[in-house]
Amino acid sequence: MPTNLGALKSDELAPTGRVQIKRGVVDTAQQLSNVVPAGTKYNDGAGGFMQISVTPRYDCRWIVKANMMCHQISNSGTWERLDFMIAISPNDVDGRAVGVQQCTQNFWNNNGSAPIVEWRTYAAYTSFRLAANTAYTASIQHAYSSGWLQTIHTGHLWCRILGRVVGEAEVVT
Amino acid sequence: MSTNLGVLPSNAPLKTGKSQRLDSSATGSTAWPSPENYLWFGPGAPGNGFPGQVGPVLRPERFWWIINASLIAHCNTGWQRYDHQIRLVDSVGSPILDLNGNYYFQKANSTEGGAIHTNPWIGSALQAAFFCEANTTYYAQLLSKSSSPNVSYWIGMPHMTMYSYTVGEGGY
Repeated sequence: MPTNLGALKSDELAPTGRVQIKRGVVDTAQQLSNVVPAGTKYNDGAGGFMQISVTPRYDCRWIVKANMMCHQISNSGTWERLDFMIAISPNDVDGRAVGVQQCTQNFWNNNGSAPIVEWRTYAAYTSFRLAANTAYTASIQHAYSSGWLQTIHTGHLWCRILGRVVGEAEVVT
Repeated sequence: MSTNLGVLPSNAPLKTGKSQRLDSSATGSTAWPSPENYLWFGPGAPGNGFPGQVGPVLRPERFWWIINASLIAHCNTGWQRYDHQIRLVDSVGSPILDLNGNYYFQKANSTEGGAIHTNPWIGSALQAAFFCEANTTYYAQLLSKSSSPNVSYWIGMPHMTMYSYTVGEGGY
């Protein structure tokens, strides 16, 4: 629902976009596998979750991006798949609970005395359609593992989720 | 070419961006297309469904147009490279330069299939940013840029999606 410039409140900031960011806190690891339930939130290494929240004043779109780094640690000489997703709660206006699910591939080369840790970084991008005056939370969540064990890094250099509100008070298509 | 707040019309919204999203529909594993062909979003076989394309976008001021595309792919055997591109085009599908002289962003990927892969699907996220002219109609296409035998991509959610949004309207 668009709001004309002349109808905006003069005692509030103009709706030109808000940004939210959550970075990992402590350099540690979170282990994932096919016995970890889908929907388990990534943690920040310090007891928090990799998630951001926003309550828009107008109908809008929410652009959300996630970065992570992972490797495999248990099935030497093979590649294993690990998926993560950007999820939102409550569902967005289109009924969407998951914006995107990204697949990663992880190799483990354990040659005995000097195992090689094969870290790889991945990104995921998505957008949600939000309703005014509703509190939303977007988070990075575990989605799938082909088996064995994978590890994600919870440090601030590698793990983050970033949101940006666009289209406030404009026509959202 | 900036636009002062005082000259913006009061009976129209503030320029805070327009956004759209294109989700793929469930089709499943599909062969990687030859170069210059669309990555299809379904339904049905490539050529019978809807292509990877967002737009049109047309703004009264200069603006930045941000486009993102996500997909997953895998290879049946051996290592294989596969490239894809987000291309800025006009209303008839011809490439059109943005104000910085660019019309595409391309990504190179590689994947391997075979016995040492339990489940070889791997994801790719590509982002493009074009500085666009006022009063000009733009679309953005998602195209293959490689011949990649044995590579397939997955048409379906939540893996294959595109979205775009505008920023910076009138701010230049």
